[in-house]
Amino acid sequence: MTDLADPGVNPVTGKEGKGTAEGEEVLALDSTVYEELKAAAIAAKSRSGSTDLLGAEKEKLDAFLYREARLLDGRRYRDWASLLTADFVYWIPGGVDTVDPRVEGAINFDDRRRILDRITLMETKLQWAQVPPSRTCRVVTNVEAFAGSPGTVHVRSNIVIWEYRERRRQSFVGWQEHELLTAAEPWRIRRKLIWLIDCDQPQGNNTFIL
Amino acid sequence: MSTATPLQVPLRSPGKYDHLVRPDGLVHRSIYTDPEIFKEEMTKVFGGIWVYLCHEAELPKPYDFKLITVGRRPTIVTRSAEGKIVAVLNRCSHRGSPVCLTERGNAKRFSCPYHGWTFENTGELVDVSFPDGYGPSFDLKTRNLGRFPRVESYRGYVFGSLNPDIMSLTEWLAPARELLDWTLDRDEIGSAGVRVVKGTEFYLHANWKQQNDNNTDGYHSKFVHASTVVMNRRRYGPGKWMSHISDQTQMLSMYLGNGHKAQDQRPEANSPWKQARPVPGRETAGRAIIAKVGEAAAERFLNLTGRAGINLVIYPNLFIRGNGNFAVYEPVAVGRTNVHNYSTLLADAPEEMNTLRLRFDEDIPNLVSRDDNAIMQRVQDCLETVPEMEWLDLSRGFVRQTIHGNGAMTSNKTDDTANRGGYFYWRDLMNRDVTLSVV
Repeated sequence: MTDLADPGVNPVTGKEGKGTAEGEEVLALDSTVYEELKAAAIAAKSRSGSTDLLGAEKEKLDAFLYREARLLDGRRYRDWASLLTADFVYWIPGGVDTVDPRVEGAINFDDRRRILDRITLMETKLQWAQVPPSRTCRVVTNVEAFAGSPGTVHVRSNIVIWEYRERRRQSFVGWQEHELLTAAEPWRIRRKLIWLIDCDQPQGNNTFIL
Repeated sequence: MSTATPLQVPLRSPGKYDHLVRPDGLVHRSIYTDPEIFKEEMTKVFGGIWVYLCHEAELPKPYDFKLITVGRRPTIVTRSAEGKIVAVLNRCSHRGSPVCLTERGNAKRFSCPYHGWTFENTGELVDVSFPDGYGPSFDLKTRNLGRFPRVESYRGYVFGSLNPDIMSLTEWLAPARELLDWTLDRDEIGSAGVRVVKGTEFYLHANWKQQNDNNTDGYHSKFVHASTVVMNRRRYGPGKWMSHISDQTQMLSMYLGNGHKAQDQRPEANSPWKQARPVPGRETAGRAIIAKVGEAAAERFLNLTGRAGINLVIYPNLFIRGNGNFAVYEPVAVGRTNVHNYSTLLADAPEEMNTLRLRFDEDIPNLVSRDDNAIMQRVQDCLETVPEMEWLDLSRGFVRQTIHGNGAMTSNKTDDTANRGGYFYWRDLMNRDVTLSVV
C-alpha cells in the first residue's frame, strides 16, 4: 500500500530501518508554496526601484551576505545549514525566463532535507567529485535590499564564484535573491534563488552548494 | 550456457578498426582520444545511422522549431505546415551563415542575417535579396537548406539520418523494442498526451562514448557512488535504492543489437516509490495524489516516479531511464560532450505526480552523476596523456556471458557485456563505408 512514511525493506538483504533524517521538520511543498516561489521569482526579476534600505541597516545585510560567503568558501556547511529555516528552498532555475519550478527541471531545487543530503554526501569523504574538495572564492557585490512582509527582507546581489579543482578554474556568474527573516536574532535564510547567466546551457560539473 | 569463443556478431565487417576493438573485449585508448576517429564518427555514427533528434511533444504545433546539433552539425528540427517533422541544416546555402539564431520558437520562415536570403521553416529557398544580380536562370529550388533524407519517429521519439539507405527506424529499434515498449507502456494511463520539458544539462570533459558506457556499466556503482550508498543508509536506512550493492544479483547487463544496450535492474527495483530517496515535496505530493485518486490508484502513480528499473541506451545518443526520464548525448569534440536531461510529464495524471517527476529527475544528476562525471573526466585526462598503456579492459563477463541466437548477449549486471557488445557494433560500423547526403 501507500504508507508514505514507510522507508521500505531492502529487497535483497531484507533489512529495514530508518535514518538520521527521521523526525526532521520537512517543508510541506504544496501548490501554495510553489505559487509563492513563482511570485518570488517574478518579483525578483521585475524589481525596478532602487534599494529600500541604506545606511546601517543595509550594512548589516552586507555583513550577513559576506559571512554566508565566508562560511561556504570555508566549506563550513553545517554552520551554514544552521542559518536555514525549516522551510528553506534553494533554487537555481534552468531557464532564463523560468519562474515556476513545476514547468521544467532546475539546475538545483533543494529543500533543507535535500541540502542536508548533499552535505552528508560531502562528509562521507567518498564523494569523488569533491575529493579533493573544490577551492572557491565568492565575490558578492551590488547588494540591494527590498522590504518584504514584516520581518522579511529580500536581498539581491551579484555573485561571482570562482572554483578551482583539478587543474581547472571555472566561474559561476549571476545574481541571487535571498529572502531573510530579520525580526529576531540570529537572522535566518528562508529562500535562496540564483540566476546564473548561462542557466539554460550545459553546466560544468557543479558539485558544491553555490 | 556460456561460451568463451570469439563472438560472431551479425553484419561482421572486417577492417582497420579490428585492431582497436579486440574480440576478448579490449578496446584501444585512441577511440576516445583521436580527433580523426572522432571526425569519422561524426559521419559514420552521428549521421550514418539513426540519431535521436527530439521528442514530438517538444514541437507540438506547425512551425515550432528547436535548434540541436547532429554530429556537431547545427540543425533545425521543425514541424511543417502539414504537421510533419523535418530536420534541416542550419547553414545558409549562400555563404554558410546560420539562418536561425534562436534556440526555440515558432517561425514560418527564416531570413539569413548575412544577405537576407529567406527560407521556409522546412528549408525551401523562397526569396533572395536584389535578385537582378543573379539572372533569370538562377534556380531557387536547387538552393534549399540541406534536409535530412530520413526522419522517422517511434512513439514520440524522433530520429533522423543523413544516410538515405538506412533501414527503417522500426527495424533499427527492433532489438531494443521490448524494453523500450516496457518503459513507455508504464506511462500509458490515457491518451491525453505528454509534455517533454528540459531538465539538468551538463558538459563533460570526456568523449561521448565514456558517457554511453557509463549508463550500462554496472560494476562501478559500489565504488563511484560509495558516498551515495553511505548517505542513503545514514539518512534514510537500508531500504533505499543503492543502499546495498553486490554482484550476487539477478540484475543483468544486456547487449541487445544495433548498438542498443541495457542494464536490467528490475529484479531489485521492485518499488520505485518506496526505494526513492525523498525529494522535496514527497510527502505533500503523495498525500495530494492519494486524496485525488484514492489509495489503490495512487500506488500506480507514485511508482511512476523514482527509478523504473531499466537503464536503456538507444545507440548512439539516447539514454532512457524510464518513468519519463531520458538523456541525450551531444558530441562536441573528441574530449567534450554535452548531456541533456529531459522529463516527460503526463497530461492525464495528477499534477503532483508530474511535479514529483521533475524533482526526482533533479536527484540523480545532482546527487549521483557528479561522481560519474568526475571519474569520466579524469579517465579522459589519463587516456589522452598516456600512450604507453594502450588498452582499456572491457572483458569482464566474457567467461560467463550468454550469447543468444540473434547475437544479443547477457550476463551479470556487474559485467561489461553490454558495453562489449556495443563496441563490437561500433567496430563494424566504423569499418564500413557510408555515403551521406542531404535532399
